[in-house]
Amino acid sequence: MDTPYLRMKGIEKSFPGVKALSNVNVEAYAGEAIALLGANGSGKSTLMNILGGVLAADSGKIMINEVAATIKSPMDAAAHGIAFVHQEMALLPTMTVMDNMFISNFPLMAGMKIDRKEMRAQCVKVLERLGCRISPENIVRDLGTGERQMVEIGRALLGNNRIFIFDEPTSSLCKREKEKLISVIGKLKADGFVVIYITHFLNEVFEICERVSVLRGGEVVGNSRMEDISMDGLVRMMVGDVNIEDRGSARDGSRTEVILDVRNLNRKGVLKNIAFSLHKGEILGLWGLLGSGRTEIARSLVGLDPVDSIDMRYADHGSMVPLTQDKARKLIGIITEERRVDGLFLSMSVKRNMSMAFLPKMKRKGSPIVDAGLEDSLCEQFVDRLNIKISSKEQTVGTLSGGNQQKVIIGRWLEMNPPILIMDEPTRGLDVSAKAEIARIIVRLAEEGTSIILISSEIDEMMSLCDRFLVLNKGNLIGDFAYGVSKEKLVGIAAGSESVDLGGNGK
Amino acid sequence: MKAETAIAGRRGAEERYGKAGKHPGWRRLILIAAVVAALLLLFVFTPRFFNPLNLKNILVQSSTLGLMAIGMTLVYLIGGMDLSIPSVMALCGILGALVMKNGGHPLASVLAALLLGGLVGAVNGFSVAKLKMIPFVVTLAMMQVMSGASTWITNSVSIAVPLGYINIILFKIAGLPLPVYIFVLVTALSTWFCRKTVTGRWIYAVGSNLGTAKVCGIPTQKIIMGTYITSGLFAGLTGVLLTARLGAAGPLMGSSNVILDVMSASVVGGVSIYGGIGSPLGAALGAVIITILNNILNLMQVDFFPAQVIKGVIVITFVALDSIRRK
Repeated sequence: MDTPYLRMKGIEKSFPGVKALSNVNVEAYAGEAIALLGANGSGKSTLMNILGGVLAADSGKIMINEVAATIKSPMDAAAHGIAFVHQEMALLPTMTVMDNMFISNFPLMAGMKIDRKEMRAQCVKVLERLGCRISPENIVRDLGTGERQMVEIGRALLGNNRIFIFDEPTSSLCKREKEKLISVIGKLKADGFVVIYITHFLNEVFEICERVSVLRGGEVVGNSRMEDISMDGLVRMMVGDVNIEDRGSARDGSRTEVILDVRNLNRKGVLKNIAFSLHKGEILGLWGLLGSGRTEIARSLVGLDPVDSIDMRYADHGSMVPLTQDKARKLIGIITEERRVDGLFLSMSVKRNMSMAFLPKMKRKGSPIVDAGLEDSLCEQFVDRLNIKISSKEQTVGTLSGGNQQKVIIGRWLEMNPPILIMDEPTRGLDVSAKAEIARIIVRLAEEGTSIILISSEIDEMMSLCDRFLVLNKGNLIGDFAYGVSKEKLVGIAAGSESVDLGGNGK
Repeated sequence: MKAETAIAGRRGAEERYGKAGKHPGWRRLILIAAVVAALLLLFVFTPRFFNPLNLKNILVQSSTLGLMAIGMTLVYLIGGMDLSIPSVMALCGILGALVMKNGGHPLASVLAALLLGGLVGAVNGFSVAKLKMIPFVVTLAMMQVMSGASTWITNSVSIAVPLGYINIILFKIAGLPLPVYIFVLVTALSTWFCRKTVTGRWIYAVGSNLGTAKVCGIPTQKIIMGTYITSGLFAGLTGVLLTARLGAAGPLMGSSNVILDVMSASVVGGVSIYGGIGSPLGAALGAVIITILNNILNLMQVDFFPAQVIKGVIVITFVALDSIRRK
């Protein structure tokens, strides 16, 4: 076991304007699991996509069993025995377990007819090896999440694969299923395979893996054996000590003027009894891993997601009045997570995109007609104020850069001037200068009295902007911290590494 | 102006993506070229086309096709479709004729036809907006229901309407019958409505991106319902006018090849079947073009079936152009 089975050496990858990976070296040994850790955008996915043949590296070498491997396509990767067990399960729900396992490589009789007997026999063998009690004839739709994952692993086991990549495999599993998965991974290791394990849950890493590589900003910041490192050490490696521009003294975690009070927010399997208050002029951060329920909370407030129950109250001239989701839409602006999916009308002009939320107020009394003059002047005003770079108000919004598109969406809500603005990943996919510009806009809005609920996967951005943090884990609100809490604490709690003082104001 | 400084930076994008927010110029050029070519061919092959009586006929025929195409266009704009239009139109005409046959006042007959059209549209709209059913399936099934009902009720025999009624509906002003004026009025009103009013903007928004429309607080379900109801109403109105023109109402009025003409009129008029693009005015012009095409094929004595082939190819061509435009 002295020589690594898989070696990725000096991997470099750039995307237009961003260096995604620089001089990345990762080594994995047969019979061991290596954890690949890093915050969102640290380069984990890029690295695995290079190994899987989805992306091509700009430079660097991949050695498998001491032989240089050329991996230019997913087919090449498969030929080298590299198998992906996907996070989003790529199964065909209406087909059987064995059809799913063999879909890309059916055993044939005389090169024509599918040999179902052979298929069944192989399938049974694989399922037995996994200790899985489902039948090859089960329809995938009828299986639980954990069983589906077993089907995925089974598919990977069928080929001559020796390297198994698990991408966030436990994020949707229950406890029992997770234990099952861990024992299956144990078997893979015992059989001398290489396991690459990507996760956000740090405690799993200690349970499953022998080694860890931590990525941050496209660089490997640590390679270690698990016994040589502590949980705190890992968190520190992931977070780093980059300090970006801070809001400084303007921040205040002790505001008292409540503008929105949310209680009893429930949605089966997604959100559990969420309750919080939002203060005037506050930037409130919702922090948690992907799938922790942060986006769902945001969308629930304005009725974009269904809920089982929600009680909202809103400060109207000094007294708290009940607020329905329908009414909330007129008071709360929302910048959604995916601007191309439900943020923009891509084929429409900048002007039309910006006026769309405010149209009913843009007509003269008693007339159904949009006041074109008002529409023009509001558009100009906010294009100017947000410094949106466009050739004309009539430019199609789909032709703008990401940062300018995001500003158009912000402009849309500013035309409406809502007292509360929800921003879900407002800087995702933007370059550094656009990010900084959006951050400045957020701060200015808060200073002008708008209350902001901010969601971002980038801890540094959250640290530099928020007055207060709500931490979520699997649909539970598990912490409420004022500005000043440490980065390590936030990251640790969300990843489930620390016990939590519920509702406490742990400074 | 701040925008001045930005122009240089965005010019590249403009060149790549074409003029913002407008119909691409080449599309309009194709349309004009097609019309010119058609007119030239007409001069050579069918001089009878330019007979004033024929031209008047074309206008009259365009008006009924155009009303249906405008209804269809509203539904296309929100990203839906309404295949039931011609069959609804026929049943509405039949209902109107039946009302008068049983001694009803002509006004009651017109109201009954419109009411039925609106009602069927509401059922379509409810199914699509609230029950989240697929427009294609809902309206195809509704087409079946309507045409089945028409044949069943009438026993496939047309029901004649009184001459007095015909005279009212086809009342002539300056040589042209009332339906032409109704067509022009509906075209103007619906085009204005779509362009200028808040609801009109919302219609485009829903078809452009339903998700974003919801986020913007637009009452999307009401908008979807509304367009289907309007489409049904226009189908009812068409039934009234066509019944008067034919002097009788029967199930054949809404035969299934009418729907192809309605679709053709919309797509030839620049309406996208993917939603969010097009206008009632375009659909109205498309209706005139399709009517002219039918007329020419008729004058040139092209048989029914080859004519079907030609018209089908035209629809496919324009839908293909639409798809290319979206890329």
